[in-house]
Amino acid sequence: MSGVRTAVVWVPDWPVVAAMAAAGTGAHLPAAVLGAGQRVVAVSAPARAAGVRRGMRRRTAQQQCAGLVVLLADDARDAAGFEPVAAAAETVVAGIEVVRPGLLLLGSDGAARYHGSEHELARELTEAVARDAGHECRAGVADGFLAAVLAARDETVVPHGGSAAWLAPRPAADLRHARPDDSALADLLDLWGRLGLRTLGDVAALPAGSVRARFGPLGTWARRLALAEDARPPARRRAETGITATTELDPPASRADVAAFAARRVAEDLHAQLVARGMACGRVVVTADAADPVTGEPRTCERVWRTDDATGMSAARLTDRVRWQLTGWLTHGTPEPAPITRITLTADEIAPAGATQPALWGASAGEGLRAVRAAERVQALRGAPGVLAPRPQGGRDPRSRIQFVPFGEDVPPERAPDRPWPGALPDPAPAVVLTDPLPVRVLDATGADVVVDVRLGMSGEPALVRSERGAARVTDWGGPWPVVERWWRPDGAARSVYLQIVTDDGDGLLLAQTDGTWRLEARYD
Amino acid sequence: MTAIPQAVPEYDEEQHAARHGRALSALRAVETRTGVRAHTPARRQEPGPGAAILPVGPAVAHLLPDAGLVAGTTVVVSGSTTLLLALLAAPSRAGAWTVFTGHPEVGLAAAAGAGCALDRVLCVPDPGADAPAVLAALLDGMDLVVVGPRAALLDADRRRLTARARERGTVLLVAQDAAWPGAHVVLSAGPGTWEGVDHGAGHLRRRTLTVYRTGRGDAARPAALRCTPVAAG
Repeated sequence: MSGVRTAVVWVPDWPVVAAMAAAGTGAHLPAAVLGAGQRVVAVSAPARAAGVRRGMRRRTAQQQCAGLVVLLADDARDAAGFEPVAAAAETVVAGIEVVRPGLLLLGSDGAARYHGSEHELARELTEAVARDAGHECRAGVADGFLAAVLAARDETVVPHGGSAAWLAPRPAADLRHARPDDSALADLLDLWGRLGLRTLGDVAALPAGSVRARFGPLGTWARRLALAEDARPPARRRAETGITATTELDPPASRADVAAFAARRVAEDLHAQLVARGMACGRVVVTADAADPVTGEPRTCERVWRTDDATGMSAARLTDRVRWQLTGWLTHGTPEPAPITRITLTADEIAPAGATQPALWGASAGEGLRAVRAAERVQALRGAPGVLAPRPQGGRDPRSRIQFVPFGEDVPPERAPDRPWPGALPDPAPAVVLTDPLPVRVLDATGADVVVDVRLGMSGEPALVRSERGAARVTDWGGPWPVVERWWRPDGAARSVYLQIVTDDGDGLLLAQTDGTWRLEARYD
Repeated sequence: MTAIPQAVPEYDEEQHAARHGRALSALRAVETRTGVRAHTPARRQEPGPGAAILPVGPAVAHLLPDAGLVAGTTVVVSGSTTLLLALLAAPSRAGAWTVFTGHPEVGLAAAAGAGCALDRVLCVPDPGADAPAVLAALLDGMDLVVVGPRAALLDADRRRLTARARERGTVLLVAQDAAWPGAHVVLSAGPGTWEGVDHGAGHLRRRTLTVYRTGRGDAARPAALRCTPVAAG
């Protein structure tokens, strides 16, 4: 049995190509991408010529090539950058499968007939990618996945039925091109090398039963690839154009109830489209186009809402989400509310409906569902920002260590909480953080104001804290600790000195001094 | 032939009954959720010996008559937010959903530090004029509802909310200074101390509080208890 005719489009050194495109580095410079453990994971052609190889340490690589441009690995960037390449290939053939960023797989039977021959198809693919995406790529056609990947590396077309013979003299180590970064496969290939299986022909000649018995499913898979048999034909990626629902508002809606009526229409439209296709979405993007009432300048607001993945979202709940969002924009839009001229809803992260099965036990089993429903009822009463979900984030003072997002809204975290944050105030954090800091005066035993200078020297021991609400005697104090943040930015610089105070009634206070004045930030009660 | 005396494992009646009870309640919850069994709220009349108890952390367990928050009860915690957070931490970590209503000043970094799971914590900072309706909706879905000082309520609202909490099996925690009619346990924190700062040499580490307990039922006899809600290493 021979595998299906498969064409492969391969962009050499994709991680480094994508990284250089994102960083704006010229293609003539030697560059390398560093992955986990400061090891090189991808090398550009000039760097390879200078002797830099995959798996090298950063220092060794820079020793080989002094002018090496070092870039950091980023899977998301690789995947996003590859989308134009996939789109360019889709202008030539209808269905493609992205195996990994840098490698495209497609069934070549019908496409080759349409374009005249397999050589013609390969030429069309490389031209389309170079023209539309601006990247050099190689294309090859053969029977089965492994043969096609290797043919793309050689830029050849292996004739029909000849792939097994074409593969046979090649080294067995070429199997790693089918699954790079698979350490189990690398171990197996190493073992086979020591057992004397040097070429793919040697691997293919082994009896299937013995391979299965000794090397398990991975061995069977490798032997099938060496025989140019395919585990499965390429999956056709369906070009989902994205499901959207739009409505134009003429005259523009400036009142919340008018917008709510439109929201209902557009939400029901989107829901009907999703149901008609049998799809469910993980996120909904709400976009509103508005026109400034005075200057007529167009403005766009966009917000992403996460839907319940377990239950999907009914039309009524979708309507509520959109209505709250529009009401929010119409009542406290920035810089000022503007009448909405168009509402667009886009379903994101589309997957076949019913593909997620709720578990019988545990968190996804609907134990949180009751709570989520209650929170949504409160949002219906108080608007979306009425219910906030706190999230830990990085920061030095108690106020900046928590990020509040409206419940259900998909907002990226501002600062990573798992970084060290040197100079952060010591734990435990204060149990009461004042919404508005209260100006206070800190006095020493003689009645003079206590001031902390730049070298953290205090002008006297604090003895009394006085505010407009009263005064408290100080029994003990901790600090002062300086927190100097974002001094490199012209706008966001913040320099404060923090002081913990224990008052005579046993409570703790957190005071901060900025520009010589003290304020009460938080209480440890 | 000699009989070898064997150590018969002691049959622990009490432990067996507790495990059986847990298994039954878990099964009942699954049946209710999947629709095999209809939801029967009629079982919850007065939180008594049969009601579920959410155990609290060891530092504060001795403050409560049942060493935990009994589902359906109303507990007033006044005078110390630190004490409130220490009571919430263990149930929250065990899976309870918590909401702070009308309590915009609560330090959630401290809540996280005390052990609350922030992914199951919500805040309604300002319920405004809708406070009774908001609290009623939250009592239906949440496991622990904290009523803060910014929730404006009348005494009639308070009685209704206590009754609703009892019916739904939700714990209502009150962090208001005003008296709450019908509260089951009232914990009011008195004078306390903070240790750890040493004229600039250290930082606040250890909180000790005197807590006065009053209430109904087992808590009816007033008691003054000491506790250490925060003890950082």
